[in-house]
Amino acid sequence: MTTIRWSRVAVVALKELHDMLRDRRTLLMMVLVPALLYPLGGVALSQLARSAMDRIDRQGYVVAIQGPLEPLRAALLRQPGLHAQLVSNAEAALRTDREPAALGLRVHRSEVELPGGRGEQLAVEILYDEASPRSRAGLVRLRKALEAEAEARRSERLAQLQLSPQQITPLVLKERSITSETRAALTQLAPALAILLILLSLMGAFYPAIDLIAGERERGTLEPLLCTPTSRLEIAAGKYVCLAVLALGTCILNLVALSLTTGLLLRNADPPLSLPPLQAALLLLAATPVLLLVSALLLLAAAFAQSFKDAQNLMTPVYLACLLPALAGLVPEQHLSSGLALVPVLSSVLFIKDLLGGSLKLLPGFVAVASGLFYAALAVALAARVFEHAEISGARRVEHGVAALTAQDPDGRRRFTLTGALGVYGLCLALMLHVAPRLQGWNLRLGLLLTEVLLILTPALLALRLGHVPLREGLGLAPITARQAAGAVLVGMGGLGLALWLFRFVLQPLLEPPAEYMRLLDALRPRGTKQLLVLLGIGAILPAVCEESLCRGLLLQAARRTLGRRAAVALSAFLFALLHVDPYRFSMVLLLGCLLGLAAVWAESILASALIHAVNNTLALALGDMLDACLARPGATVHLALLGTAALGLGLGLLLLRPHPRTGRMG
Amino acid sequence: MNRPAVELRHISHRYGSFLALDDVSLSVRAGQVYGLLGPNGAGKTTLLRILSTLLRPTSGSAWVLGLDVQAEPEAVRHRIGVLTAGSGLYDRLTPRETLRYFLRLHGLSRRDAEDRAAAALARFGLESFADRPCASLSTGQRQRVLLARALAHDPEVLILDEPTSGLDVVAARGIHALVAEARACGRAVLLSSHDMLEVELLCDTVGILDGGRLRAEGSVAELRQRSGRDKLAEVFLHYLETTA
Repeated sequence: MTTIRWSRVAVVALKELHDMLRDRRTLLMMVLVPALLYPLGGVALSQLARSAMDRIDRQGYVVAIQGPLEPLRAALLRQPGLHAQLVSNAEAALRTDREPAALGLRVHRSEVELPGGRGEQLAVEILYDEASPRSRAGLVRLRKALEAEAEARRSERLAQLQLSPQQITPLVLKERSITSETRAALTQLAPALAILLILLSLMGAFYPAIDLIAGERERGTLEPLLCTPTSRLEIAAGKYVCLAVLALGTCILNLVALSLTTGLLLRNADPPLSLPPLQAALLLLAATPVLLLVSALLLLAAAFAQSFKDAQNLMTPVYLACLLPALAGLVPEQHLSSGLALVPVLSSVLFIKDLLGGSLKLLPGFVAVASGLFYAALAVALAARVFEHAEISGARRVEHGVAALTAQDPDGRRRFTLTGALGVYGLCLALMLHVAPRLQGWNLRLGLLLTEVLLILTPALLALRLGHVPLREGLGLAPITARQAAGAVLVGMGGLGLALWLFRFVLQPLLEPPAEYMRLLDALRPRGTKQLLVLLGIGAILPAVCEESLCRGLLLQAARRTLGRRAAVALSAFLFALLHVDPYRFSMVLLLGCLLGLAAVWAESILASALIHAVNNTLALALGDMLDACLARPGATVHLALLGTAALGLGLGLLLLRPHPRTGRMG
Repeated sequence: MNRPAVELRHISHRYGSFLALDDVSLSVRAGQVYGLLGPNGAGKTTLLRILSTLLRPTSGSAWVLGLDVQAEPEAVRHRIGVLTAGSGLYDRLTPRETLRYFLRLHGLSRRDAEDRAAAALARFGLESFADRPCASLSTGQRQRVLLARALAHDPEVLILDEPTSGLDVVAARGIHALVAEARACGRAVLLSSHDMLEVELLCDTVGILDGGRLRAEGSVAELRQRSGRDKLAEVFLHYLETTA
């Protein structure tokens, strides 16, 4: 086992920090941006909003009145800024391009019977443009004017009838918000603030991440560093510590700037804003896991870069990929639950949103921090693994760089590089996102067949053909023994048990299955033997062939040469889960992907993983109804049955699949 | 009999389909300066990178001071000083900070690294610009810092890839003096160069590498005698032409 000398890690980390803090770009991103952005942005935005409102107020609000003007003229004149204008069509006056009116009124005068005779009644319809700030601002004034007029007329009518307002008010309504204006304003700003905080904090680590590896390569300092008796793991750890410290430091500076800005400059804004130190500290706690995770991912991406440009090309998608789950936090009424707390990045955004909105619950908050730290640890382990690999951290020839899609092994055989395999996968994923829904929407079963064959298998095979990579090597195709085949069947059965248990007892209680997912399950339920056979072909055999060719074939075979076995299995499982484009089933598919990857590596053949895949899907399709009936009766027996099947199948199956000790370690 | 300080046996290395080194064997004794001569792409840098533990050979074995470079790379790195072609410096650090950093990576305590860095600055004549950022140094000054960085931890074997490339005569003479001093101190030096005069002046043994193969090996006098040529440049061309 590799030991790590923390004193060496500290030497590397301190030197990197020392070096980075002398870099103007890093300082600019870390200190100047938050120091200037928040106060300038806060003051400027609040002043701009105020001045825009003042300008609108000065120009006034033209109210186009359709119908009798006289009864309302006095009321409108009493409210400053409102200018009445008699028109034949109020809506047209609002819709016109040339100097449109801010508001419209349709007035109908009628008479009503009263105890002492007849009285006038006005029915007023207000027209306004929700998309126009002028119209919205004028609406507030107009409503005020009309409500005052209505109140005056009501009082006059009551006096005529010799009644008091209390006598005709059996129900008194009052509204009072229990949230302070500050909290309400923070709640509205929270999602944007959370995303801004995370993105700005990561910007503090972005350029240093490029400089730490690609910069060293370009300056020619990486080789001398690798020639010192300090392990690559220690160097990577030192660099990671530096990145994490910079990201956290930037976050702290952002929070301090935000806290000072709200405390000093926006205290008297409308609405007033303030961020007390305790809340700022909790925000740091929420942001820490995502900053640690993304710092590791940035380091991981940077490790593959040969130059600054390469690093920017590799790291920008990582940076943007972090933005996607963060954006989901903008969805209204989306709160942190124990289920969503498991989604990286999104959990931190929701944590911050709920914290600022005052609705944060303890358990989901704890799960969010714990799971975030767990993902960060995984990413750090992966980055360390990549660094330990000689081909990554050592200098490489240009033909092995990012630009090369295929390379030649020392024995002369061509193979796909990880970059090439990821390129093919990216194409398949794009097809899955854009074409697959249309195909399956047109005809579900035929669409599924075409998806597997045309969108997954064909690109993979075509890439191998065009890259002159032999099918056998490119896909990792090799015969398997009867013992391995038996192991694969057992793993397939155990895997299904584990996936079902996860679905029934972990996923379902945390997140309600989406209706679309339930509809798909129902559509794939066989009704009769003939349908079952068709569905087995489409839903079990084809995925086993097509998805395995891409994920355990092309991807895993390319990744294991660059990343090593464990990281390659993890990466292929992640991409396999992503390929299914189904956030709800992501964790289940990820788990299955890990088992399939492990089997392919241990058996040195994708036939083993294809067999597991086929058995798993076959059992799920054939026994669907029976499994549903069993799972509908929750209880300890079902728990035990599922976990027992899973443990037995996986235990025995993996034992049979394990490489024979005499043949040594494989992969 | 003492084992050579550097020993390569049947080393081959491929970059994809390109065979960079083909069954190369050589050895360097302590107190010996071995010069590698060869045209561009001959495999000199690949060979030095294998010895520096930066590359794993496709086949063959290499030892430094009896340590297997593949099995014990870290122990090897403790005892070698490497100056690779195209080596650079951290522009924002000073020479003193650079030396201190690398000495600490060699396991020295903060105080020892400080003392050793000060000694190296004096020994390599870097004191006048010791506290200026490396970005502001001239090419010659940078090369001296690079050499000081490679030698500051007092290595027993020096691996120098074109150490005087791009230097003026004065700076190159300084490097030559350091190599001579290392030999006098009993260190083994393996260097690559394109400069025939430099090789003739410094090297006890010369190996001519071409197309990944060691075409000839011996002292300058032996190579002259065997080839029947007077000048080392002519000897070099003779071996390239006869083996082409």
